[in-house]
Amino acid sequence: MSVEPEVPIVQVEEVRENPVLYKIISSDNHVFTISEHAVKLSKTLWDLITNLGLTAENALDNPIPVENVNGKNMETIVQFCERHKYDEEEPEYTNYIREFVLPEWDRQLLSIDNEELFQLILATNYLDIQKLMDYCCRVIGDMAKDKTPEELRIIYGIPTDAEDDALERSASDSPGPSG
Amino acid sequence: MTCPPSLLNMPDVVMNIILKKVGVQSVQVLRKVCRDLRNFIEEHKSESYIDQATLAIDLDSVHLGFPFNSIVVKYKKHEKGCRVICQKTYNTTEKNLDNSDFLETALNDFKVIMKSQKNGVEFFNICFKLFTLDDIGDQELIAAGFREKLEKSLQSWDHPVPVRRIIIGAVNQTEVMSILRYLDPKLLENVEMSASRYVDSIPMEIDKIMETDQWKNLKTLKMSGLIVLVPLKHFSHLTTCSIFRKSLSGDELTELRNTFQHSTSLNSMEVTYQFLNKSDICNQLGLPTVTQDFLGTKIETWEVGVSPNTLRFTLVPKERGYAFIIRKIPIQKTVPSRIFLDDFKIIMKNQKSAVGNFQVHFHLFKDHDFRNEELLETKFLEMWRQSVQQWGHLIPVKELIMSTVSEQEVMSVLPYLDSEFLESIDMFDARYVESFPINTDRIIQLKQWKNLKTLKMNHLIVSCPLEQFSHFSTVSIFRTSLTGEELTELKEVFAKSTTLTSMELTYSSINKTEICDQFGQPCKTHDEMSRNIKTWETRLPHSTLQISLVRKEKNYVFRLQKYPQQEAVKCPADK
Repeated sequence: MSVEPEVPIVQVEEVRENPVLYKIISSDNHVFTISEHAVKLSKTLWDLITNLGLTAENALDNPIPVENVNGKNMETIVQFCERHKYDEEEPEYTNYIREFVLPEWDRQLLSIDNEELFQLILATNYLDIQKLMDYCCRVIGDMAKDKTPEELRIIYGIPTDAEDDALERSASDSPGPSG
Repeated sequence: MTCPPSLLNMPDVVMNIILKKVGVQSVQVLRKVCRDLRNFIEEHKSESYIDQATLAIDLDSVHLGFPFNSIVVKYKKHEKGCRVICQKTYNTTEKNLDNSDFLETALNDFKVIMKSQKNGVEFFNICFKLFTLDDIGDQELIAAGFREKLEKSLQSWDHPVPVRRIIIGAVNQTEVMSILRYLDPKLLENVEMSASRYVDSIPMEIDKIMETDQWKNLKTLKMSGLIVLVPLKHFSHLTTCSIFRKSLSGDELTELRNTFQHSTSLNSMEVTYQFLNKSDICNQLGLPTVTQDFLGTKIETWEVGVSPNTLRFTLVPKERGYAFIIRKIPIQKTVPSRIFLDDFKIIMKNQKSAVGNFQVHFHLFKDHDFRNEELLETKFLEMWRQSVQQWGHLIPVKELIMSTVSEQEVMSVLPYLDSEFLESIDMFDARYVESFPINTDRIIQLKQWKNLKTLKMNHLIVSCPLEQFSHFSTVSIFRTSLTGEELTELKEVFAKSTTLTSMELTYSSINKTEICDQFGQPCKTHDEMSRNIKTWETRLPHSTLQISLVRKEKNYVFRLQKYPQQEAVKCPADK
């Protein structure tokens, strides 16, 4: 009995791919390659590319330095953009609570600790990636669902007003540089 | 020193997006987390999306409901103050608030929640249930107290209450006004009011309501159990309106008609009357068309042309009164069926040879509205007839397949088919579960009928004499019962007819002894589905008639087949 060779799934991207690639360098000097369709999701990067006049021929010779984003976040961002580069525009939700469900793949991608998540949000905000921003905020929102203020304080690492006051007092009590 | 990123040091833009996405409920929780967050939320008023809200005011409690996640917060009067009970899908939390009034607390919470709502709430329900069986006299006094508190709270809002559709349970104008005038007139489109405390319909004044901007911008109004006495012209700016009135007299009818005639927006109106004067209506509108809905309720309909529209008046009994429904139906406006008929005409215009098979199906069938079904059908058939009559030629068709239930439907198609081409008809009943009798008196008079060769009528019971089928070659029909007379008739038809070769008759009841009397004992065989078949054979001049009888579901299928003499098939038992 012959085992039929596994038929490779033809990747739609390969068929549709316009093989224009760009190079991005993160703040800690990691180099990433990203396709044209994917990079378009970031308004900041795409504006930069058009302003620099990068074309298919010279794109790989001119890596784009992104000072504000480290390699770890950039990796997540590149993965996300490549995944969603052919997405159709989503409808404007009027009720996020009811209508919006985060896809499983993205939920996995964004299963990172709070500090990383907020860092990612800052990077996303800088690179202006609407969809990733939506998804990250959604994750933050899901954390807050059905929680009491005390629980949220712990989740988001927020000091109570009393602690806050104490902190401020001790700061003002301690001698300043001029004192 | 740089802090690790956290919710508190997010840029404002990011914070706003987060707040928008976490949902109203979580924003309320976040407000309580710390000063910074609360200040941010108060300051930025990040947009919230509430689509439904309920505020039900009882004598000793208030329910505040936001149906997303099914949250109901109940504010109950308590000896020390107010008890807040929050019911969510899976858990209930309770809390006592000392020295606070339950109504004020509820209204304040409502205000806070609605603060950042910019879009109109699609559906807002407010009900004054103030109801006590102990001391009926005090009720209105208590109601006044509640109203004042509500108004005081609504006055303190810094924006009008954004609501698209409001449902108010109230009993008088003051109660309605205590909420209505605080709603955003630019958003409010739809008002529904009903009597919340009394069973019987009660009169209500609406003069102050009519002066508000909210009233002037309304599109839909529904008032149930509240009788209004103002002139009907005050409702002419609405598109849809449903109200209660005292009695339908001739004057009232004139007023109704005038209102419709002068209004450009009014499309339909349902007025519930306690009394009516039938002769006044008939004097003005003539005699009604009477139909029945599926429950057997009598429906009377009148139609009056008021250029460029038709006004359709429908009268149906409703509880202890009558519902009088007026609808404006544009005549000139192109309706889908009209477009279809025109298209069909164009397509068929140059068709000279016969269409092999032409199918007509009447699916005039709506689950939710039986009342209009027949009227719709009559109207459509009328349009169809008018259209086909203008064709200038008959429709060339060889075979007609039609799902139908009435002679009227058949008669609106069959006479327009070219009898020179038409050879075969296949009719069946697609609307009823049981077989259904159909009248064929007018059908059998048609030239088209007389030229037919094949006929199939499924689940439609015909009762005309069998000789009407003698000119066919193949016939399949449904009949009621197979009696001795019917058998004689069948035999005669076969003996006389020169064309008829086979006939299949489905009966709901048969008389076996009569069959045996006429044809003798049957021989029994089985068919491929191992059903019992009884067969007979009988001689006709120049031919043999083979007969079989099979049970099929609840019916009996009686099949007759004519063979020329020499080819007669022998019954196996004879060998």
